[in-house]
Amino acid sequence: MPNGFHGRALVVDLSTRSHSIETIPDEVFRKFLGGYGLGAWLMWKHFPPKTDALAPEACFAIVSGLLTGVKTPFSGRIQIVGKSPLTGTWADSNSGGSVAIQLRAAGYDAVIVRGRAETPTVLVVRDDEVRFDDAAEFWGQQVPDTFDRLKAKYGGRHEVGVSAIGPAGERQSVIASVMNDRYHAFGRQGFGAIYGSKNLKAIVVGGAGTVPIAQPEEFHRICKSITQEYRRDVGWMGRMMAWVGKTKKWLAWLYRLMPRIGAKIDPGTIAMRQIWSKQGTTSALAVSIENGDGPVKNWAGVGSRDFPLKTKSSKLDGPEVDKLITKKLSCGDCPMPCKGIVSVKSRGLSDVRRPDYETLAGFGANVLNDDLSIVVACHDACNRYGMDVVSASSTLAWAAEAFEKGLATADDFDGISPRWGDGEAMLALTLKMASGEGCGAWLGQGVARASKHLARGTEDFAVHVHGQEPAYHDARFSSLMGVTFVSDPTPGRHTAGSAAWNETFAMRFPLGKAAPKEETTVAWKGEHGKGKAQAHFSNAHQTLNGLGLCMFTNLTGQLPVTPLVNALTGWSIDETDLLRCGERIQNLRAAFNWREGIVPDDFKLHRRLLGEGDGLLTEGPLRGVHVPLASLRRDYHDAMGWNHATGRLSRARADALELTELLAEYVDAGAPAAPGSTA
Amino acid sequence: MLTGDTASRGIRVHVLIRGRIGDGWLDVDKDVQLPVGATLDDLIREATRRGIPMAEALAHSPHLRDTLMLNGERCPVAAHGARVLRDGDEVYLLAPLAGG
Repeated sequence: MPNGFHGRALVVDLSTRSHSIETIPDEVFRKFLGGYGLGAWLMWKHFPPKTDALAPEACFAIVSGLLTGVKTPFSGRIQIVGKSPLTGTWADSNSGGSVAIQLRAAGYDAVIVRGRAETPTVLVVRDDEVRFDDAAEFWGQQVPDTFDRLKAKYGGRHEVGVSAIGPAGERQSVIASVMNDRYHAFGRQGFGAIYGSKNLKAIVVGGAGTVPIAQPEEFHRICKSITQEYRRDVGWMGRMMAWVGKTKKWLAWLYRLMPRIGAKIDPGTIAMRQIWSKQGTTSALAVSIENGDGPVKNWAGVGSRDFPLKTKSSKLDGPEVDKLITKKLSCGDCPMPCKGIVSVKSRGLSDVRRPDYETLAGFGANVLNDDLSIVVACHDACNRYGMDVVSASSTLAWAAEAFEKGLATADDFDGISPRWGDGEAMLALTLKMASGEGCGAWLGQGVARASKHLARGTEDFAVHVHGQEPAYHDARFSSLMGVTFVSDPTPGRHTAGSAAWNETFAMRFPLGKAAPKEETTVAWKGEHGKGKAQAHFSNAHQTLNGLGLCMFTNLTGQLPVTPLVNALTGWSIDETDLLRCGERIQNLRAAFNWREGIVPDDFKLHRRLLGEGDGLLTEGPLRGVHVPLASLRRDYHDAMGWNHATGRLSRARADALELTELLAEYVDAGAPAAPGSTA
Repeated sequence: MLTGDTASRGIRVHVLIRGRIGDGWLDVDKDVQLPVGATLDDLIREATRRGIPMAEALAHSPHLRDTLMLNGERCPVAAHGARVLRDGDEVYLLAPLAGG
């Protein structure tokens, strides 16, 4: 009997309304942990190569991180894997919510779904029971109603986790999201369309079991100490300590006394935890627009000129969003909940998930809208219908530019004139995209497809990477974010692990003992050492995904992940082993793309994020910035052992990672690793 | 051209420091009074003397030395330390933060 996992995946076929249980060898968990790692292993095995993402034969999986489901702090995450209908590439997404927790309680580490149900269906998993319930009563329902009714029907005395789509997913919009426990989203890459293509309205999971733990006392002790530390720091005691920590002349006596009694205050970390707990990513909005990190006017604008902090972006910033908060929201198993619920009485909006950075940047600065109530309304529309906020708002920015240039008129948009800064017009179009009504039918397929539909030269300023709109961090601000956009197997993603956050604000490497500091620290300017750092950070990010931990833990302190994993599983591994697991995960994700016939050069970054053509700005903080993306990407590929042209993994690296047998076709020809070599 | 009033009272420069600096979070929004002819380096010294952690921020987050903004334009400290400031100038140190 293994500890830390069940070694079982539930395999469901919606076409035949049947299921089976697949045993997963212990070695898979040791090599790939869980989460995206387990998911990538399952998809490598089960996904029929070069199958359309929306075909019945296509499959996807919901997977649990290794540390999820055992009350590990910061592990209330769900992960989904498959093939993206938006990009035709490897797809994965990471969301808050309880589905994975419930899945583990039901005795599974993953559920694989294939086939297409004849009629709308709810897949119900309750411990050993698997049912295919009719979803006719839920089909066509918006997300809030769907969740209320599903919870009422399947919840009751026992908690259940629910993952469901709204109308956008039902009609297979390729920018449709999947919503988890009502408020959390698998936002990117169009997983909502996959559910829709399978006539799958929702997955409901409930379980009453537990995950076996090798050293339960030690494991719970570590969890408790993490929770206590964070709760202290975000509670009243922490606030007081942070206040005292800010230098005050009249407290000089206290500062002199503290070293004598051995008291120590770390006001920086405490303050960071407090701001994160209070405002989450909303606190980044005004800063990021002003300093050039965030998008302005379809990536062609200048924040300090077109959407200045003093008069515009501050209206959408953390303190303003705070005023709308009605309650806090947690992903689950989190000692520092950073999400919230908001209401806007003037628009009759209540019980809306708080818009976070991407939403504020997309429906705000990128379309020059400074009306926060409009941003909330757009966010509400996206979440009600189940649509990705980044893709939707990017498409709006493109529409506004097409309108401004006279390449599109109000007639193209059902009488709506999408002028820059016209929030009401943006909201009206968002609702059309979400519902698929009128022009929303083609706008709601994302900017790449919408620009092809409209044509007239508008493809020129349709900003996307291989079909997906890049998340709202500018490569001209952080060059390594550009590398992430074109080198991660999921194009245009920012939550894919990047040394960009070391490059720009010195975020520490999460597995500090696994790599020398000089390899995980880069300067903001120049290219020196960036490929290696990018490789370390991207691999470590996949380690966190494999474990099921929130990526934001790194911003507020580092968790003792190795002791947690060893106490849970009974293994004796170290941080180097964990980093190698992350590297294997990254390679397995990349191998999926290679098998689909995708090569590195297929992923291209738009000139506006490279500082070329009209992306080479003549004013503002990004003035004159040009990104040397080709050489940076080449360095990253070298550090990963990837062939520049084919993307295939070098034989030496594959041997060192013990991947040669599994990924035989993907591994580049070449000499095997020298005896004793390590990754 | 300096007005008589400015010449007598010096200049006022607006300083904004916001974001994740080192391991912590800073949110400073203050005016700093400087003599006429003061430079960017003078501002950093004077601000630090008054308890505004400009030097501390630049030390903890080296990229800010390159991304310091003066009136909406990037103004690297190394190249612009001797730049003479004017009344009403705005100096921003804005650290980025991961957004999700």
